[in-house]
Amino acid sequence: MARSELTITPELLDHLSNLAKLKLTEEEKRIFIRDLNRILEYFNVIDEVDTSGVDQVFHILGLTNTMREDEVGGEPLSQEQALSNAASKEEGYIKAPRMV
Amino acid sequence: MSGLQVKIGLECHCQVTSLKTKMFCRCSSDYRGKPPNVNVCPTCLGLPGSLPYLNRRAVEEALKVALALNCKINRKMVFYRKNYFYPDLSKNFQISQYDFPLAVDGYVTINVNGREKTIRIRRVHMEEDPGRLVYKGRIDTSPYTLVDYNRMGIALIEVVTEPDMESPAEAKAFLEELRSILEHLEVSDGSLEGSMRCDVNISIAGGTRVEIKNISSFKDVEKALAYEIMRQRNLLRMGREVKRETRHWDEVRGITVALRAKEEEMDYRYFPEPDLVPVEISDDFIEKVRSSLPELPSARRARLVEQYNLTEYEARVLTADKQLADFFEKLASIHGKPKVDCSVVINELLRLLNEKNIEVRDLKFTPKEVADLLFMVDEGVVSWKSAKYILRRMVETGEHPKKIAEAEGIRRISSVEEIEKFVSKVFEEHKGDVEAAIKDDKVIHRLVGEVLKETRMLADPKITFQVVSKRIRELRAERGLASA
Amino acid sequence: MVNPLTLTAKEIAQQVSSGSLSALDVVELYLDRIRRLNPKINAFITVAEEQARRAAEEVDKAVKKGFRGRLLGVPIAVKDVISTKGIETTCASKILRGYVPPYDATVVKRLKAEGAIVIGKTNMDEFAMGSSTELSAYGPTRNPWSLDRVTGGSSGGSGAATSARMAPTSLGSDTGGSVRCPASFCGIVGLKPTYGVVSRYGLISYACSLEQIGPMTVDVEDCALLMEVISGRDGFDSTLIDYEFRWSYEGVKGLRIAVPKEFFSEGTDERVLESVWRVIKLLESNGAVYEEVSLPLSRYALAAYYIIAMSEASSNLARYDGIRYGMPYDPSLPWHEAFSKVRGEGFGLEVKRRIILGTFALSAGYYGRYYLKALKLRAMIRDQVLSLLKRFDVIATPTTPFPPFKLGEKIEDPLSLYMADIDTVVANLAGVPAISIPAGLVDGLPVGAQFMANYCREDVLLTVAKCVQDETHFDKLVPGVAKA
Ligand SMILES: [Zn+2]
Repeated sequence: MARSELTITPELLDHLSNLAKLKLTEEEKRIFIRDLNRILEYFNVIDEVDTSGVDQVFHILGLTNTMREDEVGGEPLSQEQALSNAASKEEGYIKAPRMV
Repeated sequence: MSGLQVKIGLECHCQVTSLKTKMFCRCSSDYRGKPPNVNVCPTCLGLPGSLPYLNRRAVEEALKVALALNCKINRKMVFYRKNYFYPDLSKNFQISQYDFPLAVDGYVTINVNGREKTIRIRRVHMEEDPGRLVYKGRIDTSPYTLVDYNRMGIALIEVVTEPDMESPAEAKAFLEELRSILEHLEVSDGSLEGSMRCDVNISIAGGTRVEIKNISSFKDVEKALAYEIMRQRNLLRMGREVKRETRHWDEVRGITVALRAKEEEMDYRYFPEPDLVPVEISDDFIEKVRSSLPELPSARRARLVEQYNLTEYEARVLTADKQLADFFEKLASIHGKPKVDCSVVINELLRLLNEKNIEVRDLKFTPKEVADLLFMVDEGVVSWKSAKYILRRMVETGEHPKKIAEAEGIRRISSVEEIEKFVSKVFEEHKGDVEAAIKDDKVIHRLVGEVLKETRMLADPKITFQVVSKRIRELRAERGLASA
Repeated sequence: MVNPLTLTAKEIAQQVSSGSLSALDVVELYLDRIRRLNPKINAFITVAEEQARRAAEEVDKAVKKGFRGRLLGVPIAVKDVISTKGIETTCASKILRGYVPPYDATVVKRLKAEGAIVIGKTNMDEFAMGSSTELSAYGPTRNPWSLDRVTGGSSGGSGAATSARMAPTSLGSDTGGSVRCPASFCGIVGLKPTYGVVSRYGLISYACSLEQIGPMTVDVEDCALLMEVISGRDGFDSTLIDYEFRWSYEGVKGLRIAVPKEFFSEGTDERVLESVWRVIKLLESNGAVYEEVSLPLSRYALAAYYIIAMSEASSNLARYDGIRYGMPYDPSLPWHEAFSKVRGEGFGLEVKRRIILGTFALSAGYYGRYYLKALKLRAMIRDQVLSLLKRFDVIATPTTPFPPFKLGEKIEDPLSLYMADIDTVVANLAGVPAISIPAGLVDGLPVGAQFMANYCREDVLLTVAKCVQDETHFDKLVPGVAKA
């Protein structure tokens, strides 16, 4: 495939990996440029179908309006449980990386 | 330059403080003042496998707001995921709305300096509050970030306006009106810290649209806007370009700062939240909610004018804060002199609240105690001047006015004999002034002032003036002098 | 003495209930088999030895006090995508290594309440993204019928564990065929329920609008028993419909079978087609009738499925950022770089591929062409399936287009691996229930026949399966490795 025909160009791949917060190695980028464009080509088969006038589905069985009452309950976690899987914590807070 | 037209649009995020639980889980919505991460469950902590479950009351509360803002209600409402990464979002997406929001196309009427203006509402939708980030010092120098998810998942109502405001004062008026509406609906208590936050966008003719995020109280909006208008005008004046960008409001330094370019290219990839189902809102339900709406600020203002004979201005000041208006009405119902009661509330009480930076809810007394104080004035037990002092002490201590008056020996001295004793003392000590007063009427006032001071302002000034004048007249007569 | 090769869950529960077997005996029996067989097959990521023993002792104590349950003492192998309180749950991903959920999935809670015992967590394709169980951070699972072949996926660990009788029953999850494909490749029964009848609370999401947890069993009645226990409304999953599972077997007389020609075309292995036809003819000889029909939109099902699944996945997997659980982030980096690094290193290649494609399909400029279009196509496919199911009770197809393939055979080519789902995704798109039933062996390797039915008609699928089981005794087929 010529570069000009690629939907997912190296630049778009960089943009997508930034949006998805996924650091890719050079090798992965090479593989993805190849595979993703092939897969997209396969996906493009849906262009054959005219979907105009069709409503998008939400719940596939058309379920609506499931709501709960405003009552405290559920499965509250203790602070110890909430922090039990965090790699880094301080005084009950979960520690995250610096912002800048 | 200052004539350049300014356009301001607002995005207001208001917590639904009337709920018992969060929006999508059954954790308590009462998160303030708790140790970090104790008000969480798998859902709001974003644990793998957890799912949201919509709080019915949250929808009802949002519907009230949409109706009060004169919006068109969508019969089908759908939640969407807004996808972006940030450490305060436990799932790295926020459940919000996009297509099919709760309501669109409303309006609010504001009044600035007596001029009425309609601000259009573009949409009203629901979303979840993120958690809270805590820094060591400043955000840009903190070596790490601490995260507390207690607030994560609190129900928010977002109100988005059209860019219809043309000055910071109009933006402020809109926010005050919105806050008052939410308080009259009893949906959101604007006096709770962080319960109302704002993003603003602003453009000046000849410039570009700039967004300011992270304004954590309505009070700061006016400041942020004033700063931004000044910044943009300066740029334009120097012939420089105003960049289309997103800026942050730094409340500590009181300035707006640009975000780095990379974070600007946001693509939120909205799509319908598959873990929730659409909400269908029937006409019946809308009518039921509409008919149960309480009196809103605009109606209340009209009624206050009508029922208590207040001015438009007074009614506006009262209804800007529902608690204040409630306080007034209660006071008027007990004391029964609305003009006086209104004056006490908006001149004396409000000034004290502002001075002490507290809310009506923080007062340790009720309108009943203020009524008692005013009855004391009416009965001549204390002077008006003392009453003001007692009110201040009430705000400070919460004590009953009678108790304060007794403890501090405050009463009204109106007996002539008693005042005469003070007058004799002052005449003894200020012989020079007495001599001067005998010659010049104007000096009598100085002596009256001295007597009042001697009584710690408790003496009735009128009677005091009469007693002093009489004494001076007697002295003149003794010396065979006519009136000066 | 009991024979684990023929023992059903129902029998275990009866014997434990009557006291002729203790739950601990049962657990030790299967733990022993796991110890001997798992090193060859790698069906389990975690064997919950200690927890299972403790749970068995609890059950035995409770039984003595009169406690009864429908799954008393029955060991269950649970796919590692389902949250188990106190037992590590990894989704076969490096990024979740060490994560111990503080809560049980609803299905696990329900199983435990009936006396069942979680014996271990089974291997799978990372985050259920795959069709061979080769894409696991913990190595591939091997097919008990031929150790150099794949088990199918993504619930390959559950398929292999059940087929090799390391557990009498298991749970899988099915997003696009992940229960049915490994059931077919491992020679057991696998049921994907109607969308919205089994709670997904605690099921770690891959594509939430498509997936359901389903039973994987040797015996059809065990499948029904598990369905009875795990299905039904739950206050933690708002996508659930009203549903009550009921089934009584009354044969297949008069059953109307649709045979859509698109699923029997050249792309499918001849021997697989022959096996499926044998099953259809067998049902015919028991009184069912069949008719060849067409489901033309099925041609687009695979593309629509992958677009939707990848889009949802890109959002569902955003929460893995190293802060709250799983692989720790690098504290020397600012947050966005730390996130990118931990996610880049923690996710496997296929997961990253799907996240990137899903991000693309939702991004500005492509949403309408890919994601929204796929959603509309989904509606059209659903309508076509439902219109067929107005005239027919079931739709019969192969489960997969080929028999179990060799490990590594398709791993380099993602598209060829996606093709494994070509017959199964229609049921997920339409939301209808579907079952895979052993249809005999091809060169000593199991293949499956798939049946789909109308919403909530799992009973019809079980009736078909029961008829085939009675006629072919597929439940007595045991792979050689398991007999040793
Ligand atoms: Zn919660």
